[in-house]
Amino acid sequence: MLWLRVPEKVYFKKGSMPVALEELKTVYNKKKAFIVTSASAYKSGKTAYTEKLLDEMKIQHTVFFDICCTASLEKVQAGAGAAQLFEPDVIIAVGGSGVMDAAKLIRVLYEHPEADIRELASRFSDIRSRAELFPATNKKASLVTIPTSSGTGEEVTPYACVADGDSLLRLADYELMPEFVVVDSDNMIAQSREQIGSAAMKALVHIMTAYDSESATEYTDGFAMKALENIIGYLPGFYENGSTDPQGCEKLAEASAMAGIAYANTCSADKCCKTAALTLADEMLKSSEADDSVYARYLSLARAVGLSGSDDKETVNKLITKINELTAMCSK
Amino acid sequence: MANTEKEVEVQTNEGLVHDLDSFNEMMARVKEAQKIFSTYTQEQVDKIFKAAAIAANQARIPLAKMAVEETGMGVAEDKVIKNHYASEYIYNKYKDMKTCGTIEYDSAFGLRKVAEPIGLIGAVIPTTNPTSTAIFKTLICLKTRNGIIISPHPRAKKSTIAAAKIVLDAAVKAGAPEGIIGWIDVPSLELTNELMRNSDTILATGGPGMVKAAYSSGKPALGVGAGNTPVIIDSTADIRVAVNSIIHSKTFDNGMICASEQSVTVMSDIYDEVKKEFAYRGCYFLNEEELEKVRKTIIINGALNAKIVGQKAHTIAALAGVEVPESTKILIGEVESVDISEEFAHEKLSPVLAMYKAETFDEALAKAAQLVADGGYGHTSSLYIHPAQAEKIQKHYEAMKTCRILINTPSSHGGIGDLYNFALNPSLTLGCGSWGGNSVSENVGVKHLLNIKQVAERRENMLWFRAPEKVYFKKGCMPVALDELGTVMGKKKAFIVTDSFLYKNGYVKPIEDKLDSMGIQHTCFYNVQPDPTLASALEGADAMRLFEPDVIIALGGGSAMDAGKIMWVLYEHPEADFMDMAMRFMDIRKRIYTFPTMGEKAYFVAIPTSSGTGSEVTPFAVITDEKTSIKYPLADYQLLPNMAIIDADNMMNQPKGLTSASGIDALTHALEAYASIMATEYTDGLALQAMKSIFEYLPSAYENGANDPIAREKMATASTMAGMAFANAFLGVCHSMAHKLGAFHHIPHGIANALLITEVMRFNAEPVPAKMGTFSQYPYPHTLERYCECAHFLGICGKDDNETLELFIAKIEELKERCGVKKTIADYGVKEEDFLATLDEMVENAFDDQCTGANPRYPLFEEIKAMFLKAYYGK
Repeated sequence: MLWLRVPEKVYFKKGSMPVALEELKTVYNKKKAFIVTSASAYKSGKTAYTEKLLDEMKIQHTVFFDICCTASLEKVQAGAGAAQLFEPDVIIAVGGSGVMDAAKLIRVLYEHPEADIRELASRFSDIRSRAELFPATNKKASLVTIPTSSGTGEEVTPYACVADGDSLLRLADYELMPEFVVVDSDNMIAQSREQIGSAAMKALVHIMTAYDSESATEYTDGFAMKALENIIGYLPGFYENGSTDPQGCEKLAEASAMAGIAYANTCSADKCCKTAALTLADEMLKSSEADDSVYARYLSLARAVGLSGSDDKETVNKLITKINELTAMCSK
Repeated sequence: MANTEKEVEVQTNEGLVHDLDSFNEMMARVKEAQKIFSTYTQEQVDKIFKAAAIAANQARIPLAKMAVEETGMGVAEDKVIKNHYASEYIYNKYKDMKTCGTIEYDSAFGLRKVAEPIGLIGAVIPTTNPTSTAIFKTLICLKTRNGIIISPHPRAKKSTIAAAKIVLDAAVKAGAPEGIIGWIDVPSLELTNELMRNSDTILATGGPGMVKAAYSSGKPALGVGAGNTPVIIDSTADIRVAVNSIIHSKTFDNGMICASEQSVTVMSDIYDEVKKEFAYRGCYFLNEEELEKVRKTIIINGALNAKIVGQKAHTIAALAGVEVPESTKILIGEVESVDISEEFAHEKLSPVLAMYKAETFDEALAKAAQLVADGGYGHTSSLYIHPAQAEKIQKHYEAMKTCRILINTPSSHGGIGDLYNFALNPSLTLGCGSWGGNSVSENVGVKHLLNIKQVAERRENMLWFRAPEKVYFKKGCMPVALDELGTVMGKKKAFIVTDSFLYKNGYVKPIEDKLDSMGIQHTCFYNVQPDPTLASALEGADAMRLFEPDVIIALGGGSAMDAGKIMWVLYEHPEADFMDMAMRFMDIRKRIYTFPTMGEKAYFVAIPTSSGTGSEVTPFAVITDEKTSIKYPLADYQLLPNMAIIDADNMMNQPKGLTSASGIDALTHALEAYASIMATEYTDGLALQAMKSIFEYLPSAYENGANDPIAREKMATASTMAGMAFANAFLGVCHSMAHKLGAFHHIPHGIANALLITEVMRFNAEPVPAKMGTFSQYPYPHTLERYCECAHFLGICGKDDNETLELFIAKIEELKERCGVKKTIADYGVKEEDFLATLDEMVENAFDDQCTGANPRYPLFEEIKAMFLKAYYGK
């Protein structure tokens, strides 16, 4: 049996955040919001607009911003402790993948103080082999994710990563998935070139991992394909022009979320890293040469994203070359 | 007097403005100055505003003395307060307000507000508050980069002009253009009218006559009028606070403030006590004889006697021939009538007060309401009461037709704002709303002297991707998926909805077995008709109410799933009205009707047995009221199933006709969703994948049925993907028209779509449509390109877009033919005369169909008709 699971509501478009967040009041009648963000995002005022919107809706709120990069288990526990004191009915993650992952786990610990993340990580790192049930979430608080980088896709995934000393704990279960996602490229327009590049590489890895996965379905192929098309079409411009290219930013934002949906439904847990991006084209070349079915899949992907050569081989090569170009550009 | 003139010397403005020529000359100068001023920055303006406010404030005492000297009215010490207020409070209120250029920018919504000056403000200044009003009006004009010309009252011209001059000099010294403030030195009716005719906006303060003249001038006017403030002292009021507040306010500048109290209505149980306090605090109660004398003095021939305005109580009493102590604060007349024929019921602009007795609070309200009607419409009223008396306070504010309602507040000081309440804007020009014949109902301020441009950038609507929480697929997945009902969700009672064919042929059996094995109690409703009726949905919902399921499982084609959704609504919300739910909307997020929240009683599982409708993943359901034959198409994400199980095992034995009709239906879903003005990249990928599978596998599924399980499964997935695409991107006019062919001529839905789709594609592909669809994210007619994207994805490529489209259409025609779809509507046995007889109605209904809204080309009636005809005749 296979499945397609996406958050209950995925809202997108530049400028959509104020419209989407209105639902917290009008549809859900939320009273208390617990915002999770990174220290740098908080200090630079990235949550200010969200806070203003919550104020206008008279939703009480507090901000937990002691997160940076990949959150540590201690920080997640601290966040959950703060949430237990505040008793929010909605948790809002504003940030990149570290923040969103932390928010997912803060919710688990807020709703299940007795839960042990290490233990959950050992039992629930593969979404496809679940012998028992992950503690049910969304009982006390719904989870809203608002990505600020155009690449993580974590806003739509059931995965979370957390640092435990020197090791990394990986969790995967649909109980970790947010219910409400707001992909508003206004939140991503201020990324530096480096951030754009590293985010795009992450999205590319998500796309190709999902597309190459044994669990790839026609549903996920559709998302992966469209995500790749957006990246090929708009990444060079956005990478070059940054905030003066709002359209490129929006296309990358959608690509990232679509890649996230594809990835969320094909893989066992978030295993991606930047090094994977750098070897992506090589890997593609190798596997397409070794396996005819992979070759055929690449051919149809290449066509789907509008690449064509004088013959099939050249078409596939164009795809691989394109990906190589993009990853090379981003890793500069 | 001499001392005053030494400090504030009246100067002429290059010769006195006394006639039309000199007026026009002066006006030209002000206009010229304003042109320059309009280019000033916020910093420049704020500097000028500050300097002018400081200068006016510094001159507050000489100006106050001068006004009293000149007009012979009021109290100099009180006028000092007014001048002080007009400079300091106005400055404080507006010092940080943005009045130049961009004052607001909302980047999320793309809306910029830009403040521009109005131009020339014509200011009429009354004799009652000459200097303070002049200071107020000139300051707010400086803050807004407007030019201002003052028309002073003839009896107060010297002091008015002196105040204006002080503000002008300070402003110019701080950088304002020379001549930005002008005035009429020798005021006359002619020049005042000329000013009104030539102003861009009139800022009129004065009596009803002046205000009426301003509004009649044909220029926009901010005018205010007379007040007749009635006070009620409730039994619960703090009497000492009430009485002394009233005295404080009523004696302020000898009662010349238009918001000042004119009458007091006291509840009978505290009347004596209130009277005692007034007397103790220096007010004089007139006896009957004295009352009559004062009546004749304050109002003469129905009009206020100008001689009493702003005079002391003792002076007025003397005029009336009544002997009162020199120190008397207020003359109080105890009267009964609130009719205008009672002199004391009028506005008196002096320390003369009417006092009424009321037995009940309602009687007091009625009196106050009449007094407002007597000459204070829209102005101010006041109430003294214990603050906890919320009910009475509400009754009072609901009954008063006044724009300021002051609670436990001296009304002279209270009405002008920022003294006894710090949210009421400070102003010396108090709007009286439509009741007072005014265009504003609040205290006039800086915002009324600006034109605000709104620069609206194009933005695209927020869009969304929504799918059922759980979509499970793969041949044989049903029992695995159903397992969650027991293990994860702990469901107890399942209600199965299906049709009798599926029930009799054992399709429900595997579900029942699975439920039994999990100990979930179940029942089955299998009376769903092909076009589900309201009657059968009601029947099902009744059965649900008896059974009380916590999960509903709809098994079947579109009809069973739609019927299941409707039963679900009726079960959860028996009060729901179909008319309301079926109301057409332009934007699903802005619809007037709020759909009730679903899922509170039961979880909804949809299991399709045909591959076409996509209903398992859509927020749509259609139900027919069998009594009226009206179809109710419902659309709301509340109708989205919670779980969809797409198991090709349930679809293996679809008859050929169903395979082909539903297969083409799914293709139409994908094509229309792709061409929709609401299509997104999320839906595009799904639509393209669905199309590809349909072209590849529908022929074999049609021809080989269960013998090609792969084709069956591919079609199952394609149908669901197409469903997800149109669940979020919606459909188009092909579906609108197909719905009507079904309703009027009973052509199966999939076939109806098949007969129309290529016609519609040609129609939509037109690069020069009569009208394009309206949606922010749909920039220009580009449907031809969109169809070509589909074609390219399917490997179809012509030498140009038009050829690609034709090749694509040919491929669709070929697919239809292979699947046994006939060519025309006529081929399906619809008689020509029947078709033509219903054509106009079908056209109108198709136009009004909910699906039409998302079509990339906005279809005209004639165009729909032409498509129907072509599809009928095949040419």
